[in-house]
Amino acid sequence: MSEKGEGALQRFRRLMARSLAARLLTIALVSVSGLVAVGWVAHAQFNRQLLTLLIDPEIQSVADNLIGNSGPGLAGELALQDVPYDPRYSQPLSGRYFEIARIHEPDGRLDVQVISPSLFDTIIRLAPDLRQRLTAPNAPRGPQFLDIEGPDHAPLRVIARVEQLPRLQGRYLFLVGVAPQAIIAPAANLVGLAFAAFVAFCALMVAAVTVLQVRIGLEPLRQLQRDIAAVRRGQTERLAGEYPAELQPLTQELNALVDHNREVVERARRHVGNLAHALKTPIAVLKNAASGAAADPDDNVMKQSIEEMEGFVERQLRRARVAARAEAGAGPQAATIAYRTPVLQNLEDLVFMMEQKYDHLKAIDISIEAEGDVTFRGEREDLLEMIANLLDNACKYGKSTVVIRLLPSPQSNGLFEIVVEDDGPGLSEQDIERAMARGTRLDEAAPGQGLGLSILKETVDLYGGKLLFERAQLGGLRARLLLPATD
Amino acid sequence: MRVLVVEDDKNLREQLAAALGDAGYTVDSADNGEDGQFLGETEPYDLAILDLGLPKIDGLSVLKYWRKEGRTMPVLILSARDRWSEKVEGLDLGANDYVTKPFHMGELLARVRANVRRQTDHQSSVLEVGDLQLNSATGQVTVNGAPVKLTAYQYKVLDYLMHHAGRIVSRTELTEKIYSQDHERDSNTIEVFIGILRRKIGADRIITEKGLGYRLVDPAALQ
Repeated sequence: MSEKGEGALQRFRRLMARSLAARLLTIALVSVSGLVAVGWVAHAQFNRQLLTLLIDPEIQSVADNLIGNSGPGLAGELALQDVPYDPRYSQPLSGRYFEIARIHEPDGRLDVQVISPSLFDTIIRLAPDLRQRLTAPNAPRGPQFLDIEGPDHAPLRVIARVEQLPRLQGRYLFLVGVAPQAIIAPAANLVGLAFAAFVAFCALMVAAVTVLQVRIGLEPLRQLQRDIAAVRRGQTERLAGEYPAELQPLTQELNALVDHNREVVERARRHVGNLAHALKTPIAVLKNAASGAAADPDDNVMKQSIEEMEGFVERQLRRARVAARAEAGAGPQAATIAYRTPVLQNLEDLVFMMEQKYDHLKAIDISIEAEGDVTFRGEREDLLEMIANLLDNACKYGKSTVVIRLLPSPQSNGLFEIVVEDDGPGLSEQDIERAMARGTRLDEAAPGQGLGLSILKETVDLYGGKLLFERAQLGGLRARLLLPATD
Repeated sequence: MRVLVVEDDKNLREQLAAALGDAGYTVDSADNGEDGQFLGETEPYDLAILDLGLPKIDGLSVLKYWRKEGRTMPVLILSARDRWSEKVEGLDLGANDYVTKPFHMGELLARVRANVRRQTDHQSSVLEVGDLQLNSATGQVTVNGAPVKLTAYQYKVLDYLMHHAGRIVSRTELTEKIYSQDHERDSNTIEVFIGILRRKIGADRIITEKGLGYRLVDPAALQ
């Protein structure tokens, strides 16, 4: 195969691999071409049968006529007596011929006596074995219809009759032939046109069927694509639609993948939880033991060390929790896949948690102002952590009032807004700047404060959200958290 | 006052038992979920401190079981798990409070005290002011049948106001009653509590009498 041919084959293979439509078109083309070929063969066979039906009566009748008009001539040879036959048997090479020959006994050689004028300077030749068969003394009687090669090597339909004639010695072979070509020649153009039309019609059908197949046959694939997009956008959590049996395994696998992803993250988190338990319980014991002891100088050193330890463990655990997702192979995109979390109920739960947490510390009035509910395109876990972080700070620094506002209608960028305000001292411009800058590197964060903020920022970034700090109307800090809503 | 401590760490369990004992509580303790669940089911406790990561049966399952069996004592979850989703889950299952490790013993005792008193001030009485109902046996507050979630202090303020429904209660009186055993409190924290309660049970149920204090009323009866 030439290099160019190979290139074309490669291109074809690539096209097959790239386009289902091309595959379907190719299959349709191949099968329809096969059908057309079979149709052509069948059509030719039919034509032959049809021609035989047309030709056979004619040649039979001409042969009857010839036999009936054959008699002895003046010299005792066979002569035709004034036969008014079809003038086409007189036109040279018209495709209609006859021939009368005496059979030599016993070798069966043929001695041509009379030929139709149309044979001009030639005769109807029989292959030797055929001649033998026809002229043998024990040959079956009656007319024989044969397809042979006539003058000009064109096919010829022939009737052969061996007759003994009254008043004439010996046996005579009568041959009358008509070339099918002579009958179809006037219609040849029409037939060609009909066939071309038939092929064109087939090609059109193939094109139409392929378009239909792609449109209707591949529609479930497009549906699947839309559904997967819905999962990605967080409109649904799993692929739940009805799919053709051929696609079911695919959708099951996809659902399993989504579940697996969640499971891996959850398992990693649980692991961190267990680690936290294992580390924090002994620290709690140490802490209690230290504060229980009398207030001597060593005790202060111990307390300080324990606090450092506590801060370190806290930081590492938070770090690990954030890393858990990364380890699970879930990138920024995966953060938003297939999760939908209603916001308002979780806000209410969190507010009560905060009331509990600060109950014995101070009286703080946390109120929610919501214009409606919205669904967060992300994990409940993350939503709770992010808001709890802001809320915790607000409660810690606020004097007596914290307001959470939920602005549920998504902005043009698809983000909804949660505002947390307190009436505490607030932050200066520089502090706000510093707070925002921190978190680029966790290690720089002082133990305790600021740390929560850096984790919070990481999570907000993961979801493509925004976090802004401003001065609040209440006097303290206003945190604006913008997060993606499901669409 | 009987308190149950379910904690698998031996040192912490002993510290808790000692601190609670010093504070005047009678303490029973269990080092696994199975024993803890059994004790909490069969003995009448005024409060249970429940660790979550327990051998045999985990803390949340123990809590779920107690609540299913109708045990209504306040439960304070003590856990190293500090994910907010876990805390919310604990509260959803019927925990009254959630303290994360490591903690200050003083803070824990304050919360124990706040939660214990909620149950024992008025044994098994149901207070009713209009469709506002407070069941001191279960610590449940409902408005027109719908449950209202209150923290220990919020509950105490409402409890006191309901006991003196219709009469004016001064801020000083409330402050003294609510914070008698705790550290000094700013009297305007009462204002904050009143604000929260008004939002939770309906603003027209607590009337401010200028310069005097507050009065709990049945708004339906006023009309």
